[in-house]
Amino acid sequence: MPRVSELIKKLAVTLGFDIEGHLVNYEPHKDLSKTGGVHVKQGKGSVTNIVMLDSRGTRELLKSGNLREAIQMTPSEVGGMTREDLAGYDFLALLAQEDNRELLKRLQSIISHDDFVALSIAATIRKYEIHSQGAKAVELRNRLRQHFKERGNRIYVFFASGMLEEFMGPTLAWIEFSGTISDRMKALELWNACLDHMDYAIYVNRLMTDDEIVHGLRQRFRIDNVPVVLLFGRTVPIIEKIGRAIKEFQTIESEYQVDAFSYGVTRKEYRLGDHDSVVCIVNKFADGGAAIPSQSEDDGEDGAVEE
Amino acid sequence: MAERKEVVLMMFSKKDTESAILSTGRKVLKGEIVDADGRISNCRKCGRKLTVENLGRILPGSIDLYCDNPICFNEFSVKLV
Repeated sequence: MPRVSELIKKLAVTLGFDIEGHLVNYEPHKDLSKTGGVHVKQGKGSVTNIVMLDSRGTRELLKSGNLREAIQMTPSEVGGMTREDLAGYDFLALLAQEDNRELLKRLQSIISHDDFVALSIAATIRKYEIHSQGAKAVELRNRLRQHFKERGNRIYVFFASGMLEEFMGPTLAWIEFSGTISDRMKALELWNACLDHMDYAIYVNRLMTDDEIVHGLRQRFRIDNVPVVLLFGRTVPIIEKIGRAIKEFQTIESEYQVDAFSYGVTRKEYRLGDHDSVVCIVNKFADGGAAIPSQSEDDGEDGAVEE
Repeated sequence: MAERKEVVLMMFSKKDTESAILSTGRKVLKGEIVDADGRISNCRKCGRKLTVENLGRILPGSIDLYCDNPICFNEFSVKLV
């Protein structure tokens, strides 16, 4: 079967129209062996060739009558038409998807379709930002928020801050390698737990000290005055560090004589293969112990521990 | 062997929208796009009524029409991941 671009070229030649100068080619290349924290796939790389035919070229082809055969989709090729003023966006969206293909591919079988589309839009917004097109990025972010509500915005924050790649990347890579259905379900729980409280989240990495975590918690609860803070991290030393920091934070807070709050911690640990992750939801309770309502009260899932 | 994929997008200008619609076997009646069987065409993803003004993309599937909302394009493009 001929490639779509070849098909178009052939069609143009039969019409006596030279299309060569009207095709614009882009070849984003990605070496699979060098992405991700774990080497799970040793490939020689994938190439997606994005070809755009300018509107003058298309006009000539349209004069010929029927372009139906060029609008097709097979696993290796896709042909379609787009309005001139939208082509820039379409190209950028395809490019963003291509750049984050590994991550998207791994998440595709785990998260819902809506979350997946929101993630692909988040990648496009990030692309706009990288290309210093702030106005377009803001416009698209507003559309994302309008369409996918607050969850869409949280997906954007999770992705654009790099936390998604760093926190879930290795786990997702492991799932791709030897994940079972229950592992996928756990990954989905992890994804949902992170998104539920992404607004005031603290991602703990190797370099973060206990004091910094305590400071982060105090700032969010005392200055930002939020009812819930999400703390998350992976690997055993970091999980221990989070546990220590929460205890220290609770000790400091218990010393308040005036304006005292008590804090409840819902801690969920996930083990997927060799990867340990923890998600802690710290709830602030009003003085006297009445719980301040939180969006994602636990429904007794495995691994959830109330401290 | 490297995995190769080709995505070809043919750009059409606003004034060529009508010819683009006709090339798919649909018709334009008073600015609105209608299928060969006379039904009004809607965006494949959001279901918005399509006109010559708001038609954004013609993409594969059953030669589906999409409106000019970027989110509708992403709904399609995620299939290519």
